[in-house]
Amino acid sequence: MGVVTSPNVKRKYGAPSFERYSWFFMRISGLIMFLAVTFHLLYMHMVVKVENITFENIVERWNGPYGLLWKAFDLSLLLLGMLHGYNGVRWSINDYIHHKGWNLALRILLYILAGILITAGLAVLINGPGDLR
Amino acid sequence: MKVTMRIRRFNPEKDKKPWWGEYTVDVEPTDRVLDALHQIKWYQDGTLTLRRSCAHGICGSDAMVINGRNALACKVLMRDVGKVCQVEPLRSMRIVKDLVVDMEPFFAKYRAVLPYLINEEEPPEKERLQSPEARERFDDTTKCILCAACTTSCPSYWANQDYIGPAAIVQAHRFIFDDRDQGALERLQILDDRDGVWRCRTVFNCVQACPRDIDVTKAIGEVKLAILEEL
Repeated sequence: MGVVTSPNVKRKYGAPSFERYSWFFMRISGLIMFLAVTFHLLYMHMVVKVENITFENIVERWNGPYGLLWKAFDLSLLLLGMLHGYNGVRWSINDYIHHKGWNLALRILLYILAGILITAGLAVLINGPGDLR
Repeated sequence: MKVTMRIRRFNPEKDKKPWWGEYTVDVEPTDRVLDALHQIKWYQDGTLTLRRSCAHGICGSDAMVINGRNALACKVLMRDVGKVCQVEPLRSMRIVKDLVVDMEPFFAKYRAVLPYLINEEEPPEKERLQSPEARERFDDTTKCILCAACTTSCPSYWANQDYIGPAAIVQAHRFIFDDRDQGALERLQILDDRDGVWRCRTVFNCVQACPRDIDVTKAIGEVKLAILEEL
């Protein structure tokens, strides 16, 4: 008795796909962000207080004794938030936009936008706020 | 008691677009929606077209949208539907006539997951024995009757009908976790597709829709994890 596969059924499903990793990333990043963002909100609102959230204070924190740790934390918020959010928008585009051209165009637009925002965030993290101050 | 039945009617050979037919039926509170539909078809308007076979919640023929929710007409009691009961065909399926939809795309997805026992070993004299514990592992998904209530309640499926859908994943789950079966890897490969399990957005509509109370989203989650672990 061999493996019975109906010969007249064309294999429509089963192309190896990147979506497996994209799904896993969403679960893990969501879990980490749930903790990290909760901490971020509580810390900024209850400890730092809203009126003290200024570039000066952030730069001071980055240059302080735990500066590297704070930078790493802010970097993880930036990357996880951006990639998680943009991957969600990519999922929505793939769910609802079936026209191949429009689908591709919207995703390219999305990648450009994500690239610009992540680059801007990284620039601030590496160089400090600079002229934005 | 008197109930007004609002039924979505459509005959593609005559009608340009679907319309609502209204019928008043006299039913017992313990009658089912299916009995009300029978009353209309048998005594008021014989052109009303619907599918039903066993009429006892086993064959899965009479899934339809009742008061906005997917259900089997033979399992919903008239005392639970209110003074006006609205009945529509399953969503995102081609309407053949009135409440009858084209199930072929649904069954094509079912066939795509190889929904049969795959075992290359010589069968034993009597049967392939299985421990109660091993049987318990996939007990929930053996309850599926292929009525399509879950798949047609899924927003991911409404948005994209290439999605293989919850019912096909449930059927795959039934064999993937069966220790007598040897085709699990092949099925996991089939479901590891952008239109396979990864279209599931854990909306849970399928769990609410299932007339057999299968924990559909949980089964899909177990298949997702199996793909991550096995492939």
